[in-house]
Amino acid sequence: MEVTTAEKQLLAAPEPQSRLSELLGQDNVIVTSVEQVLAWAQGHSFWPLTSGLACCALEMMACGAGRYDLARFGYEVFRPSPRHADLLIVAGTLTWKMAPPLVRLYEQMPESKWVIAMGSCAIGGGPFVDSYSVVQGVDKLLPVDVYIPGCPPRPEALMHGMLTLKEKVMAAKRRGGKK
Amino acid sequence: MKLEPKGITPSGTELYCLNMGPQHPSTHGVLRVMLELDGETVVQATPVLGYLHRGIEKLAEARTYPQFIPYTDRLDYVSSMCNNLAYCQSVEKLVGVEVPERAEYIRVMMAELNRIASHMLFIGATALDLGGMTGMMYTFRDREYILDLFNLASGSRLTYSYVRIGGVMNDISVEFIDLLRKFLADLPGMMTEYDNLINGNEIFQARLKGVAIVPVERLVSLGVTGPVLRAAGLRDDLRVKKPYGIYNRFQFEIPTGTVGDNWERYMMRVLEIKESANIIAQALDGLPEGPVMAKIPKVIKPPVGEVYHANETPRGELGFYIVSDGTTKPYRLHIRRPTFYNLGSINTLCQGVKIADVAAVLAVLDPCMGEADA
Amino acid sequence: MNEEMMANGELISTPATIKQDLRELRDNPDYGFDRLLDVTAVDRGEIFEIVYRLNSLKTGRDLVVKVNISAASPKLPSMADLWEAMLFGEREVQDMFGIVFEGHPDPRPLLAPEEGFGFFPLRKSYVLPGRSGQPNGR
Repeated sequence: MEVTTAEKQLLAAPEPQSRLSELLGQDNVIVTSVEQVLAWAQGHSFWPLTSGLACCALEMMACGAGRYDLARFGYEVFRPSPRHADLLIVAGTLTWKMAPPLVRLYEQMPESKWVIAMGSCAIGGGPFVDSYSVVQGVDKLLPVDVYIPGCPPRPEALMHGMLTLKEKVMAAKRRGGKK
Repeated sequence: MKLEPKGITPSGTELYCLNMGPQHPSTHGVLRVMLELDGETVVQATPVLGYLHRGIEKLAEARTYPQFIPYTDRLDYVSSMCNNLAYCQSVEKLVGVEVPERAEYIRVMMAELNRIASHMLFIGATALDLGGMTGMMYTFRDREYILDLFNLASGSRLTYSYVRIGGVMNDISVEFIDLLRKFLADLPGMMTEYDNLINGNEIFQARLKGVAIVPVERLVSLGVTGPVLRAAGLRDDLRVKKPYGIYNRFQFEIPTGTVGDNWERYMMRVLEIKESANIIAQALDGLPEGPVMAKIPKVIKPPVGEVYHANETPRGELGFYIVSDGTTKPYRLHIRRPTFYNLGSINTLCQGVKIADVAAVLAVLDPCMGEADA
Repeated sequence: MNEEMMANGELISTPATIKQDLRELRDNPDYGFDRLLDVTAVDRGEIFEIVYRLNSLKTGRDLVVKVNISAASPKLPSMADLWEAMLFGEREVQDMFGIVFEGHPDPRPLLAPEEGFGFFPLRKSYVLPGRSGQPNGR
């Protein structure tokens, strides 16, 4: 079979340098800081807590399932116990009756931990904002790192939110920030 | 709410109170069950609801009739089309609107597709609750095909607001119909896969067969409706007893059980998937041309009066009781929610079962907390 | 029992006779309303209208039973010993309207938090705070 000019050029091109091989250079040694390594490890392996409250929980489950695979980012390990989790995704409407258990869940999670407010109910009450029993936004009670708008947000939006959180985690460590 | 231990039990231990939830991998949403245990056997199981009570009935009094449709989506968020349908049909009864033929056929197709999607989620969630995560992966993958269809038709994956007062939001395209026919052709293969992987699994069957059998009279007294009641032997389905829309034009079976154990409650929904596919195929064959929305006034002001209309959703009888005072907003809107009454049967169903079976009972009741708490 | 009223599918009863009326509707084989699907209430200002929705499994007949009680001191005998569905249904009405169902074996709040809302949400006297973002009493 004839090899075209374009294919010859492609075959002759040098191997693209990956960032890791750039870093490794010739000595197989990388010099970095502990914070950066920790940030790289934490950002690439969030362990979310199974804290789905309402409809958004279904999109979270769909994101963890086969089609919108969260596992390729390292985030598929949804832990039932807060002691093992480091990411609280508040997916759904938070009511005042559920608020003390949720805050207790957050307090039970060990440091470092992050909170994602998924869906408009968690961001600001959503369609139930003027109800008597709904907390108007999870950030009234917990420090939120990433807000994912939508009602419910598509699984791709949740992925984008978690990747944004990864960027946040890795950027903070690079600047020497606390989280 | 303090449960004091009540002394030494027959097995020689003290009565032990165990709290399950509201955050727990085995509860379908925020449900809390307070278990009183004699060793490993459940003596009393008290459900605590209200962790997702969003005040939807009060909000209804502050919204106009069309504005309330998105709230019906978020009631039983797994089967939004069925909720939309029940609400819109109640308002149409109140106002006196006749829905065009094509819209009726589309409504039936969407409601039955949603039933299939909800039951697929049920199969996966039951497998997950009993420890088999793989089952969830398979059913979620197949459910995505249905969500693609809904996405094509309504623009949304989960909360559609597709069924509107007087018809449906917009017409379905030729692409939708082709994709739907392809899905119906693939469905028997999917069900065979679940039969081999989940239903046919010995351990799965052993965990569900013979567990939590309750006489049917108690279930009737508890107000239980839906597949749980049909598993106990009562052929009670609103699509057949009080047909709404055009359901009287379709031929379909109602799966009914004999014993009423967890296994039959599970199998009811598996068999219903096949019947729903049957209904969709019949609706596709009979789909007429025409408009999909009736000519209704821009501002919906029903006459003074009241109406109650109920549909058969995947969980049971969902009824809307609307009291109108002649204005654009309802005076009182009450929702008869099937999961609310089904959860009232937890204590009866969990008498004498082991802790592991409590998770199975909750799974086969198929609760959806958005609906139970409203 | 007013047969004419029942032919319309609706029966008006009184607080004094409601329990025996419902018992008769359930036990008398001529009526046979063995299923109580739902209980709810409507705030009509001076009175609360309690609505029971009955259904007969044998004949498929529906019946709505309504009873008016005074809003100033709203109470009614509990039907929990006739239909177990009322164990939950009446607790919901109690949370939302403040109606006391006498004889209910477990009158704890169901949908409200353990200590109650502090108000009765579905009464017309309670007005939703609106979207101005006022905190809901917290």
